[in-house]
Amino acid sequence: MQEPDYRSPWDAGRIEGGIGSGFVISGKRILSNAHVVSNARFITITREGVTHPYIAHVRFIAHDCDLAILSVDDESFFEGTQELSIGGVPKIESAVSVYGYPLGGERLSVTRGVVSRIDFETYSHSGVDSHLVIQIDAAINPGNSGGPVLQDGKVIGVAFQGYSGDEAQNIGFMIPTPVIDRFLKDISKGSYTGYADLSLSYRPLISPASRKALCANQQSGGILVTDVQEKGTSFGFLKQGDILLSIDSHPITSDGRVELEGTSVEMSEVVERKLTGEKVVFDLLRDGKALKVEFPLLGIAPFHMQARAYDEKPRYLLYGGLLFQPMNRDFMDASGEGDLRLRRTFHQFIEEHLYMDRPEVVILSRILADPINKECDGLHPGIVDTINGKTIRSLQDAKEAFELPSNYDVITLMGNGVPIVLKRSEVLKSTPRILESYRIPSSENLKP
Amino acid sequence: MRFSLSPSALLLLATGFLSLLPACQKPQLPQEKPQPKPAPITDSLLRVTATIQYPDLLRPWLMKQPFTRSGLATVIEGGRLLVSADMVAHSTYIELEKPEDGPKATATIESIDQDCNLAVLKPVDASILKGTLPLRLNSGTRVGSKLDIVQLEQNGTPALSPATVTTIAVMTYPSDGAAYLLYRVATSIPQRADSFVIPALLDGNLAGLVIRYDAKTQAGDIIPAPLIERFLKESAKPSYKGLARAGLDWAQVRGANLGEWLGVGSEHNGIYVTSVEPNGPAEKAGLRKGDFLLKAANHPLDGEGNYLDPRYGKIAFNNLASLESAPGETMAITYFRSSGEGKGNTNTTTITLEGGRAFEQIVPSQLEGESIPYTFLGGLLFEELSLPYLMEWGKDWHREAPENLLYLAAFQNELPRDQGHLVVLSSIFPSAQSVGFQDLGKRVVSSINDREIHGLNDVVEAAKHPINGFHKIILKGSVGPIYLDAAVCPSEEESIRAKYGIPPQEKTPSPEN
Repeated sequence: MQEPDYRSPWDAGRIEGGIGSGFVISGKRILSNAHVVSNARFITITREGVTHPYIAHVRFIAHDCDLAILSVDDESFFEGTQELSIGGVPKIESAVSVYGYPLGGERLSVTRGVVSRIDFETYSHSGVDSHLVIQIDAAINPGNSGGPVLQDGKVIGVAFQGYSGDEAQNIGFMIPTPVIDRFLKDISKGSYTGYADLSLSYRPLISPASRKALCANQQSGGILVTDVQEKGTSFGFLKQGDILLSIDSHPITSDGRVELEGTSVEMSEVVERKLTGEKVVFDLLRDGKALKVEFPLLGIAPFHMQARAYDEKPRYLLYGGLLFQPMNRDFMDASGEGDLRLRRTFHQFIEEHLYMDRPEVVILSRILADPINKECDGLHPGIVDTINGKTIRSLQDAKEAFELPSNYDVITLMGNGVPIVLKRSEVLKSTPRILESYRIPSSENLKP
Repeated sequence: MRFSLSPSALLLLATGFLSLLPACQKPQLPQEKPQPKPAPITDSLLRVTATIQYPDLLRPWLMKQPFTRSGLATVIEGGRLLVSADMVAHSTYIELEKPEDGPKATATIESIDQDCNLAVLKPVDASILKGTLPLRLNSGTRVGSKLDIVQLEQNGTPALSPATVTTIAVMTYPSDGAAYLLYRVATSIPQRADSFVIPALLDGNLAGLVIRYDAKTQAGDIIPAPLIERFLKESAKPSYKGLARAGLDWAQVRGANLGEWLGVGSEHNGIYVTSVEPNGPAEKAGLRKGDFLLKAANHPLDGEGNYLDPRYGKIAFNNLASLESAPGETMAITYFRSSGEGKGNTNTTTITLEGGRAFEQIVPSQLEGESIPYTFLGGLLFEELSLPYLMEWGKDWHREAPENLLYLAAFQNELPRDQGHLVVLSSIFPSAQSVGFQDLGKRVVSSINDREIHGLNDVVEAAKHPINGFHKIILKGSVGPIYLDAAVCPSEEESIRAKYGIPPQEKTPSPEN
């Protein structure tokens, strides 16, 4: 596999290898973790006890819930294999067995553990998505990823993440069956769409004064909508200040939980199990009046910016030695965290609705020294406000702005700075020179 | 009688004596004095020890552990002593002592300016100054000058370290953001007691105060005599608020492209105005963002904002305001208007300089006064955002302090002009009322009871007007309102004060904002 370097976005990355586990399910499919096969250039699968590796391909990959379906070209691979069927959610304290290849090796390793906790947890593969997770008291090590966790002969989870020994010991996490079922249902139409999201913020309604003040004359229960993200699922249906009392007839407690199949889970679990396009129904109080509201669910776009990207080529535009890149999680992880304006824009992108004005934040991230840009030293990194008078709302905007007829190119950054001015005729001359001297294959990559 | 003095030493002696003599007395001629000896530098120094106690901004009713700083105070005319401001700022007690063990005396601060880092002390009992000689300022330091940096041995004998001036430029002072003329010297100063601030001498007179020394790079920073002279002159006026400022921010212009594009013409050098302080001197003179400054006080400016100083060479033009002018004086500015009305014209305007730097700041860079204003509403503690508040997050406060607060402080000049001060919901004490929103601390308050908050006084005022028996507090960011039962708040505050040992507040916040 190859992980691109977001500091030098033209660099496809070092070539490395990795291993994980997987298991056969119905339809001659192999289920594994997305992070096992992300950014993969070539995949082989070796069966327990068979020395011959088979070439495999990724059929479906879901980075938001860290699951992937692989196929094997050579059908003989499946001879003598037994499909595993997907079970339910195990009970707390019940015993489970984890199968896989921790730290590699040729022989299957089995570990037993007990279900310790079922709760929402961040999936570290994307870094932003939270779904249901089952915690067990068996360590999950690199190589275990993608392996099945069995109880009574049925899959009740996919082992996927753990802790490094410094933080906690003998704790492992697996992806439970509601997430697996949802993934399999989502791909059954032939492609993966991804999770739906309510795109709203809410707060618990616990404090007695808040309950009294907001006339929530309900004895208990209900949460307060504090923000509805424009362009998101709930926009136009729910409003700031609404008190949500139930979702799909499940009463919502004052700390935002509902009871599903006998367990108390976060309200969003109801949405988690649905596909985009499916509907959700809320009972709510608005200005003291009871209302029922029903609306279809949308995906989480435009909020992907904070998630890690995989199997994508970093996008960039190089102009006069100035490197322009869209702000995203991978860019920030690689280089952007040092700058306060960048950090804050990234973290507050959704909460402060910054995406409304700038669907894509374009950053002047680097300056490749050349006589053309000798006047620009020290002006990066910065968020591009305008180029040649045009407000920049995407990398494509930047590209188009540089094509506007002009003798000078003028770039302004956010904040009180000095405009960057380049002579167009000199820029055009500089491009081949810069590409040549920095060994850059192309001056742009606008599509992922 | 033996005369072993060189003529220059004799001259030095003469000036020293003249300044000591009261005006009514007939000056004696030094030649008539029997056995004249050079006045030892120790006659012009006192050891100064300040007990310093910083307020704890996260618990504003408390002071942090006291500690002491000690340095050398230089005797100046008028029975006064000169030290750096950070030597005595936030001090609860200042003690003076003669170099060789002798009587001690307490002192008070006569004037202090933390921006230019200078303070004048006055002994409570002037008798400690008996037998001392005021040191005169020597503004003759140039790049390459050899200075003597003075420390004292335990027994009171002076220990001199030679220093060579390597740079004279406008550089940042310890107070965040302020920049004035500074000498940088190459020297090696040994570790000795009483060295928090020490004088540097040029030909036996005061060349400046050493305020920073880095043993690794062997570089020291000295507040220069000309700046001290300006401070002493201006701070004697009752209206003193700080050294003069023009009230604009600017950026360097490297190369000719920007000037050509704006139409200034490539024959002109200059700098680009990035912002003007609202209602500040530059704005009142008609300057605005985007103007291209060509001349200041008739000195042409280069692209780095320097003028050619007859003594020091290239110096940032801020120096023309802060050092070369007094608050209230004017400075002529020639500028090119690059946009809007009058675009393409070169104009001249006159800025009336104002004193002080920190007074109009939304997020003040330093604390004024003795106590930190704060107010409670039930179990909610409100304070105003300041740089010292952010510095409570320790050495790495630039990274560790809450990001939203850091951002507001760093880019405060992008906030609305009528912002006033920012009020932070600093702490939420656990109570029956605060269940459910204890995670909302360290956020900025936008309104209370539907009244906008532009300072702590607005909080006090808004708290008098609950809506339907509730206090409604709106914070910046999408976190929804906090409601408090107005009837419960006073008793809740009382019980929290009792539980956490918070003394009753003597005074409400100062009514100035």
